[in-house]
Amino acid sequence: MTISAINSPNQFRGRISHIELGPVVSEVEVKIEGGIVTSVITTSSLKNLGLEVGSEVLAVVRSSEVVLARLYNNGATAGYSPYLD
Amino acid sequence: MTSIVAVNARNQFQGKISSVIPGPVVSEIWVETPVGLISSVITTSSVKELHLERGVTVLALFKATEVSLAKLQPERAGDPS
Repeated sequence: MTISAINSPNQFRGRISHIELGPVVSEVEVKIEGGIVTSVITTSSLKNLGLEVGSEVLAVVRSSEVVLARLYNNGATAGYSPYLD
Repeated sequence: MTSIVAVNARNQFQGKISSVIPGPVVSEIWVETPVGLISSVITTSSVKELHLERGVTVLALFKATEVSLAKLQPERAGDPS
């Protein structure tokens, strides 16, 4: 079966640059244009998909899982305060 | 109010809000970051509390465990892109 479309806007295409193998889950770093996206997936999935360093992948995140933090002074410090301005 | 010093989320991208689509309960917020547009759906209460609007600088964060991976077919020569 081939997936032709998914409904998530947050899709990052890249290549696996590093894999930290664990017994149950593994940490996979995907080098994308402009940065790195980290994914933690089961090691079974990693093996089933035959993923290895260099594999071309699509990293997908649901919008409802994206948290926003407001920054002080336009980006100097992380964290937020609704009472600042 | 306590300030956050650091957050453990692996995926953090700073950017500016490019658009806000308001809803009665949740709102969709688009953030322009170095890795492209990131869309976030958060409660409209939060949008109001944080005064989030177009042009505001924010950090978009998500946990690595929320990132799914799809394997892509290696590109073949002659394939239309």
